[in-house]
Amino acid sequence: MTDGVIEGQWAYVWAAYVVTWGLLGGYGLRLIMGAPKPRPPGGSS
Amino acid sequence: MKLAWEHYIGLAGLVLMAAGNAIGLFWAPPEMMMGDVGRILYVHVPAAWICMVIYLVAFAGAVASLATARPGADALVESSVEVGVLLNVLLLVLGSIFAKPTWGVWWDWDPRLTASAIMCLTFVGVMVLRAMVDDVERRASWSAVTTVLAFVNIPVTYMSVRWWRSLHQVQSSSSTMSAEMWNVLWLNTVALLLVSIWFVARRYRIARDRADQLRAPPLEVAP
Repeated sequence: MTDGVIEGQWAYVWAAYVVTWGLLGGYGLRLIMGAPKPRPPGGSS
Repeated sequence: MKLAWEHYIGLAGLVLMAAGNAIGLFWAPPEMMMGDVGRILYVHVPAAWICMVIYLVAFAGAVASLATARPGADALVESSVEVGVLLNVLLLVLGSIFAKPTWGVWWDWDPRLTASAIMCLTFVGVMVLRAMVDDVERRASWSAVTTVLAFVNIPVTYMSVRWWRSLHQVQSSSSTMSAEMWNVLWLNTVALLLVSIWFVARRYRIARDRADQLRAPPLEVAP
């Protein structure tokens, strides 16, 4: 493998870990920061 | 202030996940065929496994909801379906990132990938249904039935790599991975399980509070 190929591989690896922490972290923060408010009555059923 | 039990689980999961990810990134050996790209498996495979476990919890909640009509069972369906979809989306995105350097494409209509996408869409459908129905009892029964129906696809998704000729590799096991890689994979799986338990428990409390507010009688003006 050339150095270029290895660098390219690491970009995918980092992308995967950043997406993981971003998605799970974002959802976790949403749960911590505030519960969703109940919807007002009168919507479709 | 006394913290609820799930916060300790979540904190343990967070610490384990940080350690497990760091080990997967910097300590685990590169995979023999895929090189460093193989490190994506330490987040992709746990997402797949725990996603299915959480959908199993949703299925159990749905059966309990249909059998008992208890609000707690419905809240479990609401919370676990949402967390399951979150992990399902993560699984698909990570799979796509993994596919590009290994298969040369971001996506392929391979049996496993297609079944995983259908799995995600059907549970998103349950969430959409819940958002559209205001009546609490009707919402509980309808979403329980659709959750049970959506769950039918889970065993199909799991077995798809064995039932059909798939581009996707068969399930990872201790016989297909070296002990070094297998241990790192399990560490990350346990970490994600703990984090997911925290997610479901926390989301369950929100769902219960919300349902209680909707069931409460309207406030009236004093005479």
